Amino acid sequence: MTRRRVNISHRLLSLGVLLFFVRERADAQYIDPGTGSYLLQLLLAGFLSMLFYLKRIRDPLKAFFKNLFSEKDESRPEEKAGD
Amino acid sequence: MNLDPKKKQVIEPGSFRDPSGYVFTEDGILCRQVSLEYKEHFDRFIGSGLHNELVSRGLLNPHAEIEPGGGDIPGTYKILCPRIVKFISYPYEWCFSQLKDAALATLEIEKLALDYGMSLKDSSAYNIQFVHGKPLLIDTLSFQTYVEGKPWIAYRQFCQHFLAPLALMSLKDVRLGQLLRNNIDGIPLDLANKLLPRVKSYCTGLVLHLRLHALAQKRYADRPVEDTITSRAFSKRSFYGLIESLHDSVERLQWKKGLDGWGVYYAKGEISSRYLEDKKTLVADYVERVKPSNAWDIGSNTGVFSRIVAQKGIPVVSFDSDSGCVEENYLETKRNKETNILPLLSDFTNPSPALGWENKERKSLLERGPVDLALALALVHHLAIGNNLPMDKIASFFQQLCKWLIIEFVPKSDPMVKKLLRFRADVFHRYTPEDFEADFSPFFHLVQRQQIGESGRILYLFRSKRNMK
Repeated sequence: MTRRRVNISHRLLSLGVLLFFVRERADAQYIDPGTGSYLLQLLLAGFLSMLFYLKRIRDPLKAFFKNLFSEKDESRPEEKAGD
Repeated sequence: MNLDPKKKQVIEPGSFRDPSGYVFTEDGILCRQVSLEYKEHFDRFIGSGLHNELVSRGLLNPHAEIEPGGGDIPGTYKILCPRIVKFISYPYEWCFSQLKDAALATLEIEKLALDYGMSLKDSSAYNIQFVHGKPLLIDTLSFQTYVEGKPWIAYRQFCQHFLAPLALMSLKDVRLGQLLRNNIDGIPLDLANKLLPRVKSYCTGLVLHLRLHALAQKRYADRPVEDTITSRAFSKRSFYGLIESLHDSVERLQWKKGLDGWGVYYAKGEISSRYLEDKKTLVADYVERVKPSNAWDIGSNTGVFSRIVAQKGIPVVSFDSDSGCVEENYLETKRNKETNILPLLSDFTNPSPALGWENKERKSLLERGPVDLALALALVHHLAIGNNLPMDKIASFFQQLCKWLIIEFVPKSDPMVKKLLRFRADVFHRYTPEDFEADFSPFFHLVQRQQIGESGRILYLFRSKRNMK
């Protein structure tokens, strides 16, 4: 009995997924996104969002320190010239 | 401009997958039909300014709109007339850096599309062509309106067409790029994972987009999907994060520097500089005499002679079978911002065949000819001796290929031919300049022959006896 219920619920879930993709095809989409490829993106959504923010913090910081050190390097010969 | 309704449309055989439109020729004019069902997306693509932005950045092939004729198939919304791409090349003919640049251009386009509220609905490497030395999207109908919460439809295709071959070429062996020739929809990710080295230090991106991606494909291939996953939303930030992660993964993959094989031909000094200078002068004279409108340089090495032709304003496709040479040639075109040279990977003893549905989706190399002028410099001994090709077959092949031919005969006394014959029986009794000329005479008129300095090599200029279109 329990096995039968599990089978029915699996079938319903599969039907749900199928309908989900059928609905998507109403737009200009024509290639198969691939079930695994589609779902992997959903699973990684949070991580990818974090990457997006990290990059926005990391890049300006990187540029700041790069500029800071390059300014210091440039200033050294002048200091020597002043001596 | 109008299309004549009485004239027949000839639909491009490779243009059938996308119902948004198709490519056809009418009276020699290349056109793209936009279907009515794609109207909303197309209007948004033009109206949002995305089209203009992509064209102004040199990322999209421009088009002109023309009035649809009465003979158009019902359901036609618009007819576009795209700028002609002179030579169509395929990803399996590109070197590592060409594939990498095409991948980065695709991601740049997707990022811009997102900025304008649109997204690429396919990311096929075949949608990219090299025009004036740069990768360019040629499929104007590749965009659809972005739907908030939905992931990238073309993610699988991008990984199969770009990321997997690039990873294999960079981390395992550059020759694995040829798997694209067998797999017209890109390299299957499970195969890529089997071939990729295990111990290498991967960047996170490759683990996510290749390793985990292949596992997800396998896991969900025949299993039901939990509701908790399908109900998740994919925010626009996640979408940007995905594109940036793919960009970083592609960017980190590098061509293993170091020429080997034929790439060091000039550098090792195997040939004298005097001979090289004499040959350059002679080739330039012949080209000046022919004044071709286009040329193919077959066995071009790193493109030294292709550049002599290109500098005269003639577009040259520069072929070599050594991936190191093609890579070096492409990097040189980038360094010098050369717009007239297209370096491509091709072994003329086994040129690209026609591929895909009905063998018509991708054209064979010969179908993409003929060309005004072909150069076959220091090549004939490799074909005749290295590959046992009879000389009359070589002549017949070149006649299919070109109207004019500059071909170099390398005699048996030459050190390079001696090298080829060192460990094998010399069964090439007809390999003499006299027999060479006799075998070419049914196919070509001999226009000029000249010995190259003191080398003993002879440079011929032939004109085909066949009338070319």
